[in-house]
Amino acid sequence: MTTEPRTAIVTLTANPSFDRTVALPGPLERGAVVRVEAMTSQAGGKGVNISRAAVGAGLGTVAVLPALPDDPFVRELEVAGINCRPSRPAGDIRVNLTLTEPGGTTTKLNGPGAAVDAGHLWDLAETLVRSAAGGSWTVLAGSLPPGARIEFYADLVPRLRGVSRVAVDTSEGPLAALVDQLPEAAPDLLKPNAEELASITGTDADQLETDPGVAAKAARTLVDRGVGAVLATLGGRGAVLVDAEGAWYAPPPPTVVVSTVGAGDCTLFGYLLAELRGLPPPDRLALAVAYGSAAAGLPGTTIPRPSDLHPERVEVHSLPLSESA
Amino acid sequence: MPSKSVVVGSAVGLHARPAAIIAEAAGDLGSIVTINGVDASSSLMIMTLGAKKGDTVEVAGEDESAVNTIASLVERDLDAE
Repeated sequence: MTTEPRTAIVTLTANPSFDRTVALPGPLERGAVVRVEAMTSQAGGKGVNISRAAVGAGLGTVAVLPALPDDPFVRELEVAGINCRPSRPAGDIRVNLTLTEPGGTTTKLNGPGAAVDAGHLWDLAETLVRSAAGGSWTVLAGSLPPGARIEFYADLVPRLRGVSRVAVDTSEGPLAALVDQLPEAAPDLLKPNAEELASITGTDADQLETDPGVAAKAARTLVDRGVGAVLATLGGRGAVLVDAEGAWYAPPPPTVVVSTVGAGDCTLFGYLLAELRGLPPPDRLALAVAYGSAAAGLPGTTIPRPSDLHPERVEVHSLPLSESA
Repeated sequence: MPSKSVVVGSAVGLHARPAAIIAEAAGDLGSIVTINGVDASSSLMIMTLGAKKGDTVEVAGEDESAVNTIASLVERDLDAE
């Protein structure tokens, strides 16, 4: 296998979680003692998913996260081939608990995570900026822990400029804060889903998800405000890519959907992998959609490997750059 | 399953034209051949490997002659031809 001379992808997971899944033998009974059939636990988070995908594709990756150096979370990632740069945590890593019942009913109990103060965030940002200096791309993905300023990502992007290219995948307050600070906080890549793109561009979410032209037009307004490229995922309808040069749409190949958990993270990774290999935007979109649909066809958060991918089944369509205004 | 370790011969590595030539040849074969686990009939997947000239890659497949066909293309400098 090819060896990478430098770290390709540095990921930040600001609010990591142990994702525990409990398979119940029958419907959940409140107040009862239940003997469970199976319980699994996995170190999770959007940044962690992207680092796992990088390892699967043979790329060097570093995961930056708040944890003690000897935390089982860190050990699990190191065993998986991910180099960790832990920074001082505010407390124990939270647990996201999923209860599954035989009929398919799923109940999720997501822990909040320990509340951070400005000192924890400062340490995390310092660790990230130092680590990013060795990487081609830095990915800021997922939610922020309680107590964090919503401008945390928006403030980090300018600090990373000139150090590494930056991709951002987040939602709600942190995403809105980033868009408020454009163009200063403009990342090289932004990966919203339809709902997120709608919320930051004032577009109707349903219309945006069903019409790639509407999605491209909304994404275009972000490119006009300095964002390098927008990769908008439209759920089962595929994805749209817009940069300064053009706009493209790719529906997914026919896929038997098993679990969409982590599919968006894999879509983002596919784009980064193709970009790192010097491929042009339409090929980046094809690989992004191939990764996302392969992930949707695998159970749980299982990350596809390159051998699971069929980008030649993805059709990329060029979209008109702008409608005559 | 037959497999062969070969050294990449193209000056640009398994990229652009060499990747396209290999993918086209693999697509014409009657059986599936992989390079480092990825489908050799997809030029895009070949390019994601990032294999440079001098790197060793593993060519594998069900059919030995198909594996040999792709292995010999990987070893040649396809950009020079």
